[in-house]
Amino acid sequence: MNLEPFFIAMAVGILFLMLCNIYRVVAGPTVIDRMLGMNVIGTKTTVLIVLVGVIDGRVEMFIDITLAYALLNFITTIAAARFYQRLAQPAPPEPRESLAVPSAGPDLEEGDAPAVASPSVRKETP
Amino acid sequence: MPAIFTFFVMLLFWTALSGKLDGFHLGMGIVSSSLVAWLSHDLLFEGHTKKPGATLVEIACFLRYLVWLFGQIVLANFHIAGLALSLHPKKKLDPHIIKFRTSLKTDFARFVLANSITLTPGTVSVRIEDDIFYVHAVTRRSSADLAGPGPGEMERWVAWVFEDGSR
Amino acid sequence: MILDILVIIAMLSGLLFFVATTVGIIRFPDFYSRVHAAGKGDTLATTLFLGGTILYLLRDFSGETLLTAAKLLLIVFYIFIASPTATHAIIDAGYEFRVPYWTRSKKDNGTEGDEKKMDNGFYPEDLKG
Repeated sequence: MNLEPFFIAMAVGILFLMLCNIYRVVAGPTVIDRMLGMNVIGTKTTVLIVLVGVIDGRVEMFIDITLAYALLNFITTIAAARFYQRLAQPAPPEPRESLAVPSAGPDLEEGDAPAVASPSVRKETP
Repeated sequence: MPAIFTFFVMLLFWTALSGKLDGFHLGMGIVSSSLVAWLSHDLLFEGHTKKPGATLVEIACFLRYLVWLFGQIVLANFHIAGLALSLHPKKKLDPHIIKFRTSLKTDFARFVLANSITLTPGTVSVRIEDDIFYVHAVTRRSSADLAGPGPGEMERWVAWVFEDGSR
Repeated sequence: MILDILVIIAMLSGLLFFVATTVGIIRFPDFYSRVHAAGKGDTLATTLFLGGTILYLLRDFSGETLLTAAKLLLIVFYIFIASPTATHAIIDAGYEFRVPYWTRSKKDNGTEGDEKKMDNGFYPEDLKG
């Protein structure tokens, strides 16, 4: 049985779903929503590359590209998530070693604490 | 000792990726595997001081656990597909966050528990702070196992795999 | 012949779960529910697609296809680890970012399905332990 038309149909279907996902990337209310949409598109791309390899009859070549793409997608997501998480966190107090002039007394450092209490502190006392 | 384990894992990985078994490619693999093993010997088997026999038993239990987990993943997908394709998903959704304390000790067991929570029906692990898990559940029924008193079914499974005392 | 039918079944169900993922991502009311759809649907659908490809490759059995199948299994194993971890990283970033959440509760003067600013405390009466 010749499965090639079936694979082409599957590839076109995945491509259509990726186009649908772009709605979330464009319209997502927050930047995290856009990131989620891009992650899902990346996962679908992984499958799409394998399917293109099967249609082309050279899976053994495309499989390495797939592996690299899967790794890259994961690392991109982790890096972007960490970046926005760092951005949302209140700025930590300056480490003492980096201060050129060690002038701040202990009472001043207490006042230097971030205005928004870190969530771990607040959740301990519900 | 962990460096030697890391070396063999890396060499296996290299061989699977290159697929060539002649002297040149294997030599390159041995050189780069030993370089990676020397640089990162404390990453892969960090804090893993068990005997090899205990590790083998652990791997066997882990495979048994994976079979159960795969069934849960299929259930989770039917659950989420039913929610997404229903006519009024907002009427069925009842999102909330639960918090529970785990009794697992090692970091790796907690990592496996968090990933399993993400893959099972209706729950996603949001944050781990030491032994407190924050889990987002999408319906009330899906969080019942985790929110109940004592360790839930999944936590008992993970403890069965990774902690010697409960086996 | 039987392998062909298995390939078709695996890939069609994989496409069904991809459709469910996409519809969930578009339709669900808030970010946290969308993460549910993305994290679960992708893992199983990718597994089904790559499993179907493995079955298709094993139709003409040789050493080279066996190696390719092993690499595909490696990708499946990798996705099983990486996909929940990426999901966890995204939802943790959103939690830290205080993305507004959708709730059914009628407390706090909110009407049903109201989006409010998250106070990082979610539902304190549900927290235990």
